[in-house]
Amino acid sequence: MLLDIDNLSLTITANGLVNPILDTVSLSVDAGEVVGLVGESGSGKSTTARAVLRLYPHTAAVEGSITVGGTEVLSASRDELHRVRSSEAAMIHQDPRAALNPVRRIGDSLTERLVHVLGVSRSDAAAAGLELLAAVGIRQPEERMRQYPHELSGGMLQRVVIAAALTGQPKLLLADEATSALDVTTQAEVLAILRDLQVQRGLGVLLITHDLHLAAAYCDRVYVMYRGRIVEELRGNDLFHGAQHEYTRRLLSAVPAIGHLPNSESRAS
Amino acid sequence: MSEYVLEVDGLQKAFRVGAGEVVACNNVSFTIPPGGSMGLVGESGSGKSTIARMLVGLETPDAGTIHVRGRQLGLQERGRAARLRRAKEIQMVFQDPYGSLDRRLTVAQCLDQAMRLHGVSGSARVAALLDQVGLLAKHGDSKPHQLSGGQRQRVAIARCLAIEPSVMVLDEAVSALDVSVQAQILALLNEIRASSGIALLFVSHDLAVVSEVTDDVLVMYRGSILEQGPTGRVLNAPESSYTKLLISSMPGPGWDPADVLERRAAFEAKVGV
Repeated sequence: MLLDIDNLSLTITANGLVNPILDTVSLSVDAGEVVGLVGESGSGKSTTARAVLRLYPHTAAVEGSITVGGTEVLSASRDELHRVRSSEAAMIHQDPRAALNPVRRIGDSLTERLVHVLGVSRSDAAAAGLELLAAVGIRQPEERMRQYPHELSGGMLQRVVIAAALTGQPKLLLADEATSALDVTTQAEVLAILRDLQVQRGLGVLLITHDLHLAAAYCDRVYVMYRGRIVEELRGNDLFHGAQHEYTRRLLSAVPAIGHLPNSESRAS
Repeated sequence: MSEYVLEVDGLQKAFRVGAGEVVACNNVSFTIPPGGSMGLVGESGSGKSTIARMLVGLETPDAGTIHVRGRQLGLQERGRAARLRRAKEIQMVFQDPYGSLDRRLTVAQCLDQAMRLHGVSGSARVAALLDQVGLLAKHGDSKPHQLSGGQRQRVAIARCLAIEPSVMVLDEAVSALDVSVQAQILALLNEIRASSGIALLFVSHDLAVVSEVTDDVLVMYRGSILEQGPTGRVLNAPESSYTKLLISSMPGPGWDPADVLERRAAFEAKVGV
């Protein structure tokens, strides 16, 4: 198993108040698998993903275990943790404009990990960067490398962020609402590229989303989170019709839908 | 007195980009009756936000007219009084309420300030406004960071209602919210337009959301309206191939991103982009 989270509990104590954020969360992602994590804001989806990289406040009390590619993250040494963060797992956030430094060129942001973390020479890093930009479907990569984030559209920037995440050749991608800010056709474009990369490289993907239709259509398996717990695990195809848990059903019933679309009815069958 | 709250006629706007020009809004005309709700959909770059921004006076149209309750709005307001008059007619709710609320003011101060600015008296109304948008009296003492995203969006809506505008423009106002919170805000908007007669212009790239809260819809692509009509008709039996593309691009059972790209390429080849 590429990612194995076992009975993860995370509690933050502030001002004498004990705040349980995650409660015995267990989930797994295998190589070549796309796994969805859905739920409302505050349910603990992002906290779970961040915990995989051991990113949580120092004040948090954490129990359980997280294994990424055989390395136990919670008890990992500095060097092991560094290796997990630089070349085992990578995270993609919702807003690519916040993820890229606005005063640095795309090429610099893209090759940063290679040059400064993995010690690759600048010319080799630039060559690798060009290759990755081409791999995420960006045309004229040489020109893009010299441009600044404000010169590119949101969809193109998110592809740059995905390319940057792939520079360390990770085996696991943590995509936190990575396409939520994009419109439907751009979202499809980014997800098609992600799927190609995922198949080619045998990546495991943990896809956090609040879009239940997307989770159902794109993910092999889906976990539903509610108040820090995993309440249900379903196959993606079964999300809309196989949900057993009361909360999942309530969440599904809140999803807006185009009423009585002949198209959607045929798709739903 | 016109029978429409909002009448937009022949609106035109182009932006200069490098040596060329991008037409963000090409001869756009539409009307909204009292209590009516118009959806404006399209992908990013289609010009929908430009229209919203021209309505509230954040962009100056190159040509065209905007009438609110029969009175023509200037294309560009100069001076404080004119801008306030404009704001009194048309209010806007943005996607990110955190960015549009002053983080140093409590909710009550924020509402009070908006009313005072427009010479609407009444800190007494604060409680009624909070109640109208489904917030509790105690929320009046909260600052934005103490509220959830949905609550903040309710405050932004309350601030609009505070000055009793004729038109409310909502630019992706529920896009950042969870489905369950989104459903509550949509219900609130439907309630508001039914009870107050305020006309809504609802800008969104989410067709499902638009179908829940609008009577009519405009579908925009590269600055032009490709299709318009009653929301139910347009979304159930779309005539424009672009509307069909948008609908089939929405994730759902059997959706495959690679198919979407193929359909999109076919559409672009057809319109000759």
